[in-house]
Amino acid sequence: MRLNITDLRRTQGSRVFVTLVPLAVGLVLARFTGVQVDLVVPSLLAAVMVGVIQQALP
Amino acid sequence: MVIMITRTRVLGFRTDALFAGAIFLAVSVLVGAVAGATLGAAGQLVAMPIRGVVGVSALLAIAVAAVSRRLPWQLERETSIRWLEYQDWRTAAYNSASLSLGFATRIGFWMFYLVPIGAFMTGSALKGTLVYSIYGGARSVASLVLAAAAMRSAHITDRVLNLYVSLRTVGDIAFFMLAGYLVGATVTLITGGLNAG
Repeated sequence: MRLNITDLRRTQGSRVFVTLVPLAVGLVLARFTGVQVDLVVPSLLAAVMVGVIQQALP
Repeated sequence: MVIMITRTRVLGFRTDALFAGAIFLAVSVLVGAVAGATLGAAGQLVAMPIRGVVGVSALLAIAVAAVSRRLPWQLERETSIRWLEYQDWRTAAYNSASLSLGFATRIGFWMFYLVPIGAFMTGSALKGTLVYSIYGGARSVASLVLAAAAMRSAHITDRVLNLYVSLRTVGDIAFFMLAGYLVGATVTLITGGLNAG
């Protein structure tokens, strides 16, 4: 079965995979690497990613 | 956005897209650097426990909003068409400055908010400069690449625009993961500092 990523938003249950699961993953990653990685690396990652994907803005 | 770049004239020739691109990139990095330095310096003025609480509170408020709202808080505004009338370096510079700030036009993705909040939370003008100028640079380089591709194929812009809905979901996933990371790392820093104290 082919997964259409836009379908992830369409049901309330699937919002868990878009919101809570990534949030939990981020919290767990920070628990083990937070002090070493600092706050700059995730901010830089966000800066690059959003700067690129904003090209798709209508 | 693509039209802004391809219509820009810097020296008055049709072949000066390279100069326009250079201005576009330089202004975006410069404006991003100023915005980032301001936010980083503001963070520097606030001591860590309070800065962390402010940053985490902002992240949590945006995360709650992102769960319930499809589109981010944003100005429903596009890049000014009037800038096309200049037909000189100002078209590239104004457009680039607007894009580099991010919030001056539509944002489209909740993940954008990690840029200003992240710049503030670093608590350093230098690190804030790095974060925001990288955002401006990434956005302008991607715009230039898309503009160059659009000159070769007229359909490329439509194809990229068609990706918006899918990319919004990808952006949401990345936003929540990185926001969770920032919250977790900040809490670790605060509690570590408190325990050490």
